[in-house]
Amino acid sequence: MVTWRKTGRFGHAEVFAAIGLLSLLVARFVPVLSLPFVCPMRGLAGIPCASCGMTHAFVHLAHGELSRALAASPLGALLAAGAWAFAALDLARVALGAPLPVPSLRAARAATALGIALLLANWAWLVVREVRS
Amino acid sequence: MLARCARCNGTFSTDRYGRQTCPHCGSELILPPPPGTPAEPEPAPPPAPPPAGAAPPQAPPQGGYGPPPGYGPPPGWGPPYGPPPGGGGWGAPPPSGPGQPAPFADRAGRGFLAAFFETWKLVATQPEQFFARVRIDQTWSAVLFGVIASFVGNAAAALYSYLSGKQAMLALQEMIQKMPEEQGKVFEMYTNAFTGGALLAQVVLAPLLAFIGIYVGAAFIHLLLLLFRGAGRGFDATLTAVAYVTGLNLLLAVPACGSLIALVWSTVALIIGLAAVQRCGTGRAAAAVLAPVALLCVCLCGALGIAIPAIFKGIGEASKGVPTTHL
Repeated sequence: MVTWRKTGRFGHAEVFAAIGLLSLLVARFVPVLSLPFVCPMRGLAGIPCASCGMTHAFVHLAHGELSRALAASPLGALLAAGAWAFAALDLARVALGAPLPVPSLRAARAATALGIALLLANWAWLVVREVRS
Repeated sequence: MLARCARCNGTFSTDRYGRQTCPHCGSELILPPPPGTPAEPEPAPPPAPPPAGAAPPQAPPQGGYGPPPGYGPPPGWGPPYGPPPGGGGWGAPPPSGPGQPAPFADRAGRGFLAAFFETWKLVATQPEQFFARVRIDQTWSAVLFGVIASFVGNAAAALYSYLSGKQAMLALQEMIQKMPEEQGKVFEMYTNAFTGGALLAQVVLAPLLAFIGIYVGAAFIHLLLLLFRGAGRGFDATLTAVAYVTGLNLLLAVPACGSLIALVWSTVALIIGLAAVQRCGTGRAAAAVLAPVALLCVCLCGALGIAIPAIFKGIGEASKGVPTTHL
């Protein structure tokens, strides 16, 4: 299911960890919600897009507001938690000099299929909520 | 007999059919025997694919990568690893192995600008040959190439938007006032993006956003390739293709229609490039690149299907209390 691979000091995993960490810092310290941005799809068609609410979810979770994050976008909250957990674990792995866990192809495919299903389910939930309101 | 090379159109004389090497450009080609003639045995069997991680069987062009046998369209990048005639397997690049460094990865020796534009030309005009042979273990060069090209393209596009934005804002202002509030906000937001501060932020953040976009985009496409069983050479190969194709964002510098050209050209080059670099075939590469778009269209139709009855119901209820002109 998972193999362990020795890697260099700064590889792709560390880039993704850095991106995850950067997203935490931006969500926590940059007032992104006050930017005058309207989702084009929601603004023009009145329907939320698949990623609607994710910025709110990241920001709320970065401020420790779990229920508000889940209300904004359940998948966004899950993604934020996953990205930040990955960043923390990878930093710890690099600090300890531990090998990188690499999932098998089968596990990666299953995770991708699950991710797409979650994305669609999240979108359907957003659309239904928007229509009902 | 006389033979003509399909790549460089040079003619040469030969006394046998079958696999040949063009003396002008070094390209390999197959000269089919006339119908009814028994096929001649091959002069040398193709080398077996090396084990994973082994050195590639292809030697770099003689004399290094200098101009004459270097990266020029027919001689340098095309010939030895060009597409197999008839789709056969003789010239199929090895499933693994380092390959050949891109000109941009060799920028110290070739000069920065020359290497940059040579790479750009190859990605834009010969994506199949380029990605079939490019090394996939030099991802930092590929990412740097994509980031620089995106930055230059975005900066030029921002400058152009700044110069033309004021006129566009004046023209759109009247239209925005007549729109419903929500739609007006969206248009206002995009017209405000043409102002100085927003444009400056766009230019300053362009390298960082391009870097993040390359990695996140490559990860997303790689996951879809995994799903379609087309990621045989790993994430490095996908990242290399995505990063070099991002270099086509230089087309954003073309006024007015640059973004549209860049979008279409990048999509086509990415499909071709992924197919070549992952050795997965164009179908799987196209599925990985276009699946999100197709999914978006399907879901949008579904979402509209849910929303439209509710919208009509709302309009109907609203019209009951509003006096009409009965026209």
